[in-house]
Amino acid sequence: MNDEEQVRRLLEDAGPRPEVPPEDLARIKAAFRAEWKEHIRRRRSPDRRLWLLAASILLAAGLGWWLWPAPAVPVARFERASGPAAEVLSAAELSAGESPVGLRLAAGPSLRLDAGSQVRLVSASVIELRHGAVYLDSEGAAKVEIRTPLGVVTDVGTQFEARLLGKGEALRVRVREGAVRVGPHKAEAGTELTLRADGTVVRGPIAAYGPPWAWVLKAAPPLVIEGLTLEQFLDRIARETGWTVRYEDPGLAQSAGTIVLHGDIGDLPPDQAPEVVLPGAGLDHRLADGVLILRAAN
Amino acid sequence: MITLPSAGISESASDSDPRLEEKALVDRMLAGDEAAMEELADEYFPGLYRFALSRLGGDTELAREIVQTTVCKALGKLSTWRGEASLSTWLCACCRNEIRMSFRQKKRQPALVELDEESGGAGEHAEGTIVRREEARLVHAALDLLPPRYARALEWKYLDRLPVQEIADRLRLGAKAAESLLTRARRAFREGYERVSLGPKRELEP
Repeated sequence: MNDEEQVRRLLEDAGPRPEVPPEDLARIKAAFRAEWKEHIRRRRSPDRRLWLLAASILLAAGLGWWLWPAPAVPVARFERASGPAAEVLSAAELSAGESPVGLRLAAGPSLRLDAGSQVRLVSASVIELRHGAVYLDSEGAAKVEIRTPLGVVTDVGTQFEARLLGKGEALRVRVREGAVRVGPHKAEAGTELTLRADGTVVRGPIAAYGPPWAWVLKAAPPLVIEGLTLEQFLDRIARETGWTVRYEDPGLAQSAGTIVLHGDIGDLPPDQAPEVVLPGAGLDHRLADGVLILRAAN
Repeated sequence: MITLPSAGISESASDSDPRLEEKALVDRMLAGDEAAMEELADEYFPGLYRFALSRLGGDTELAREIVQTTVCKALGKLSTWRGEASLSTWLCACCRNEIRMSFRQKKRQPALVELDEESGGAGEHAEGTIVRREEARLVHAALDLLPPRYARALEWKYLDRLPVQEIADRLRLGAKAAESLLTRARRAFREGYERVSLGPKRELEP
């Protein structure tokens, strides 16, 4: 039986594709049409109030910024799943609302503000922390300086959180990867360093995963999976969550670089993305003590 | 037997790369072309609905809800679709993720597909019916993953038994170009059918 005959037989045996209920199709199209019209309207005249609300942030241009000797230049932009990303100019003061907020600094690093935190973006590489906490993932890009009333925190190619405790009585730095300098002190990955106003320093261990980093995941940049290999996807998940990835089947580890992902997972946080994405790649997974264990689905 | 394409569906005069055509359709839609938006909805939503329905135990209300959410969300993400996978494949992947997220939020599992009277009863007859139904589902799934005019051309040829000239006229192609399109459509169908039969391997596909 030749190719054409096989195709003919398959189609004949299967018969026509089932009809879709016209009323369902009409409702889907009506919703899509309305969404498309809104999408086009937004593209033609972006409503800045919308993204401000969506980012749940109050952006206050620094009072008297015009007195600043240098002209204001874009130093960061908000991380959003879709639509226009708002730019933030140098010297802008940002105050996060009830939810954490993610920004991408012009030089590349990911900067996140915990709920209720206040910062001033002096430049793309200098941030003044005035209240609350920031998280920085330099992602191998330019170094960033976090200035606080209790000292300057400088990253050395790393992921870390800097938090002012209470009303600024202490500065706590948690290092997830790499190392940071806090004034004259250095903190390595897995270290929590607290610098008190009286100059005393307390050190302790901190895991790279788990509840201490939960707010950071909420402000993580949207993960676009379209076209990523499974390996790239897992690398990003591991970087965001602090998990390590382990393959039960060595063959799976080899093929992870060739499995290509398609589709979209919206704003799903990195710690929830595997649950949605991995079954479609034919994988089962479980999490144990910060280790994401993968195996081929039965 | 086969639903004919609605009036107004535009067909290109030449048999060009379907991925390029899909990309052009998306670009036109995102640029504000209402006819392109209508064409995309007419061409791709029925297949997406069948895809969802087959994974939701025949729950039409849930399928409508999921597809509606999928296409509305996908609109904001179409700029990330690079044309490496077909538009149907990309939309189905989005839909599959939406189904998982929906069940995750509702903390429930997809309903089991119950056997109806037609497939009920013990013995070889029932088993044969189930196998035939599954084969038909795979064929329909493979057709739904094709560029829509490939799928239509195959159905016109093998279900409606239309002569090639009639298919060429409907596709606004010359007879030779229609033959060429049918050849590519058959190849794409066979590849798609093998993929859906074997399950996801190298790509996240249905």
